[in-house]
Amino acid sequence: MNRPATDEELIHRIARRDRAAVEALYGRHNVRIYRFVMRFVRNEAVAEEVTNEVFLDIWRLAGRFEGRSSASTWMLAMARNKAISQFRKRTEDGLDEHMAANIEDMSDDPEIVTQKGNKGMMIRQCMAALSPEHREVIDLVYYHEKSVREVSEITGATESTVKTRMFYARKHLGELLKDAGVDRGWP
Amino acid sequence: MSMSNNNPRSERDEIELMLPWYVAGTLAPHERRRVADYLAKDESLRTQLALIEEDRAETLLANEALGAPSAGALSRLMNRIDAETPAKAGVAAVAAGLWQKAGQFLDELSPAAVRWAAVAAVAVIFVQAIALGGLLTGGIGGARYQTASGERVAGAQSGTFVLVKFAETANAGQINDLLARSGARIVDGPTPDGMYRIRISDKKLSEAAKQSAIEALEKSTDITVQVLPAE
Repeated sequence: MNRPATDEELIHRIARRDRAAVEALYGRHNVRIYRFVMRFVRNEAVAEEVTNEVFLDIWRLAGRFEGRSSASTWMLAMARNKAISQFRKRTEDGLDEHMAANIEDMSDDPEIVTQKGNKGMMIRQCMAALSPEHREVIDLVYYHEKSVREVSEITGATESTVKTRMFYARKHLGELLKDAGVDRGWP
Repeated sequence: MSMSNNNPRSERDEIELMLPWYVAGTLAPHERRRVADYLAKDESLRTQLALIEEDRAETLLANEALGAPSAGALSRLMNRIDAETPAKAGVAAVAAGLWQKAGQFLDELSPAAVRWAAVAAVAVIFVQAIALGGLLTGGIGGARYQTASGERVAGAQSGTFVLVKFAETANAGQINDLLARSGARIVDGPTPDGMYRIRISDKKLSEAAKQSAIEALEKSTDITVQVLPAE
């Protein structure tokens, strides 16, 4: 049985106008890209639209993919640029004030969660309270499993900055948990 | 960790910074060994590993809760791609590629080679002129004029055949690969509706074997859009 094509092979096929390769690449990556975009835009319809824009750009620009970074890193970097410009546009249009109110309603207040004794939910609640930069680096490292160099390529920050940003994200998360009554012994 | 712009980071600080990637398994092998060696002698850093594991597990759960694109998202994407792609892009791309290759071939020829090619071309035209003259006068061994469709490719009458319509986006390389993999050969076409007659075997296959071959061709949905049995 033939081995499945790698992401990079699919992109080279897309450069030769192979529609089936787009479908295969989409099947592999649409969920992760959608979730990455959702962190920025906080709106399902917008996140879906931005995700499709990313794959449309892959169709248009596949010939320029040089393989210096992995395909998923390339796609996440594209998704990030589009998500940020979409976020800015929505902020300028005043749409995100309404959105922010919805986020607040998404789960319980930290103190209520602690009372419920659900530590996991407490951690997720405090993660949501981190700055976008800290939240992003945590997602890229833990969920998208990106190396220091790859996070640097996606965010445009230096590798040294990526490491310290991740450290302070963890530290701030620990402090938020401590303030909410969950002392994990660090920091 | 205590960091300042004036002091270089200590070994411990460096290791502490790399712990999340150590837990995620995304460090290079030499970095992984370096962290593992240091952790073996520093209990306070080891206690952070459990916290990082906890944070990582909750990050995965938080992302899972973000959902996924709706079922119709892919078809909307493909519609947009189709809208951007001219219907004959595949054929046009192949034609452009062949033209470009021809241009490159001529560019690479030396002046001497071009002279010899010109002599050869004149010789071919001269021989053709004699042959045409002979046909018009009924000469050259009594040869008779025949239409191109009067006879199919040699040996094309026996064997097992199917009719195939190729995807407009399929290029020549993809079609050649598919034919090579299937042991098939185009013997006629295209018909006005774009079908090609393909010989899939030199022998007369059973109906079951023929159907199996048709299904194999149909699986290459990026290359074929229709495969039909033919006599």
